[in-house]
Amino acid sequence: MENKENKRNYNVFFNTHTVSGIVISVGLFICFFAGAFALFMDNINHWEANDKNGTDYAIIDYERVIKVVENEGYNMQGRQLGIFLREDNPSYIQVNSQPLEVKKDSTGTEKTQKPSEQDSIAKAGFFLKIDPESYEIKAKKFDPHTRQLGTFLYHLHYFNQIPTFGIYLAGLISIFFLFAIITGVIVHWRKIVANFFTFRLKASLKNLWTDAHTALGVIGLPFQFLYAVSGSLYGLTILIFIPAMLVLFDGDQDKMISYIAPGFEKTEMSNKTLENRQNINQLVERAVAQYEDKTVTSVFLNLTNFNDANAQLNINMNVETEKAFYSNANVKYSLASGEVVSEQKLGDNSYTDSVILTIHKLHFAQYGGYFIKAIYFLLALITCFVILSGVMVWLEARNNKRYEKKKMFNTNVGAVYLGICMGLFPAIAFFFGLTKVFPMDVPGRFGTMGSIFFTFWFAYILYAYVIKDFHKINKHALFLGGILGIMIPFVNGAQTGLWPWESLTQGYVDTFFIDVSWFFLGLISLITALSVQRLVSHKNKRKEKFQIKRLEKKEDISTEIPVMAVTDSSTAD
Amino acid sequence: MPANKKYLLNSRLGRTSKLLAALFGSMVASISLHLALALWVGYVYIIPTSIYTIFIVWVAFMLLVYWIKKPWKSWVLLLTIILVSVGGIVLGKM
Repeated sequence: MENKENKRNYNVFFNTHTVSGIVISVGLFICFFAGAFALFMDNINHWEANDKNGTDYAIIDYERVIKVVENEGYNMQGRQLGIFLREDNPSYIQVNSQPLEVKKDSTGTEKTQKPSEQDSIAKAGFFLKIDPESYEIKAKKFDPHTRQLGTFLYHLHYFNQIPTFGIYLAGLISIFFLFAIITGVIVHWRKIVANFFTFRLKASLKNLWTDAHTALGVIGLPFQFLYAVSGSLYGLTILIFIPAMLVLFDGDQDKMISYIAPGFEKTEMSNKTLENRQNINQLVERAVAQYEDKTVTSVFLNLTNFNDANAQLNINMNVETEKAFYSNANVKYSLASGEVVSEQKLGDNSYTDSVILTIHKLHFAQYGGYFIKAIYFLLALITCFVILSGVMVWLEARNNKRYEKKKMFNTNVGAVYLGICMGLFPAIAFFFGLTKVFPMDVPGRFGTMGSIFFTFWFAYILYAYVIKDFHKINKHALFLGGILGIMIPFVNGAQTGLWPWESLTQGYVDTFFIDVSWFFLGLISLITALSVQRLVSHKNKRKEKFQIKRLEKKEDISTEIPVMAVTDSSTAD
Repeated sequence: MPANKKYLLNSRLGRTSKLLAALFGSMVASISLHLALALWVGYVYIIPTSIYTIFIVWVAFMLLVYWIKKPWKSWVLLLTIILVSVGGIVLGKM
């Protein structure tokens, strides 16, 4: 009875593992493969723009920024303002503000009188891009499209190119990934140790893929679990915060923000105008001076109740240090007196803070420099292999007479899956090279390059669908990616003059790092592509041998029979 | 070696019911359970923890749904958890 129960559970979980795994496989592969490159987002952005690594925060003249904003005709009384330097190509100072709340008079005059157009603009929320050199306004609209390669790959890894739903799709894939991991462990549990040391090269192809799938799956398990949980969190944050806001904070967003990020909570206005305001630049200097012996990499300003007697300035700093895991610090000044209202020192985090920061640091590999990121990259590729080998197990298990009718369909699905997954590698390598050779002055340059990238990728999928040969799909993708990857440092050197030896001596660390990494990545995949042999099922081989032997034997027997008969007859005689 | 069909549900209705229970039933159960705990135990600890446990508990409920044989029994379990949690939330808010 118990045995039957076990068998039932095994089969049920096996089935759910297979179905959930196959459904998410392609999406998950894109998440992990593009995500592996997105780990080096900043490095890639620096490489693309040939920037030196900026480690120190850029000094901004905040007073001048505020003057520029005031000159635009916005009503500044009681405004909230967020100011920080956003890294982009080129970087800009971002100033954003929420709309001013319209206060209703007791007489209700506000309702009857329609505000004039000028008035509504003055009270509206805004977003401004300001040049950090000339302090001129460059754009007044937030543009969600990126113009940087690293950021593009980062967006690709959660399908941000699909508006609105992309991130939810990534979240759903993550939650099914978590389900697939746990059902996988349940199915594999009894043989988890024994199978870890099993690699049947000389059995059927299905056994080969299964052994690779399980062994590498076990190695990557903690890493995959981390990404399944944190990926669900980032994709489906809405599921945590909306119910929590409605139930625990009575639907009051400000209340929740003051709990999650106390530095950003709203404070009451005194409704008196501030006469003498402290100099914001000096306050920022004071805040940064606390961490003189460390490196402050970025500063984020949040001003509330501007020009009100109760105006406050929150300064959020990212401090790079080797001694602390958490790198954020926060200080809030009163703009009237310059006194500290509240403070969160480096390393002194609340429980909420530490949970959010820990997940962030683990997901983005921001705690051990290049070394940790390289390990993450490797583990992400291993995960990609686990996903693909899972698909191969599924295909091989259906590559027999029982599935003869569905063979065409299964082969097509397999070819398209492999085309999407393997085609991403040469497509990314191609995009890297493209950013260096594409003319700079083409309008909508990055958007065009993005379209070319997707076209290249789609062409490879089409190619895979046409040839339908899994071995060739893999081999040609590695070959193409290898050639394009090796070319990247040469293209960069020829176009910009920053050959690896030049970039290293001149201090362009990221340029050197990306160029050299691509060279070796390309070399490895090229060698792999050239030395790879078509996989053959040894089981089938043995079968063939066995059949040939049997045939030979039969022939032997048939030739022997008359002799035997003769001898028989002779003995009979 | 695809899973042996004789152990799987073969009614389409049953499979759909289980899928819905795994996706939405488990999600609502997990969220409401966390909210009820947050109200009764104190949200200072429960909300930050729920950031990651909501998803782990969600998947645990998904596993339960598939482990239990009959779809209606999974629904009874999930609905019980949801109703108890919602009751807890209503009581806690009063």
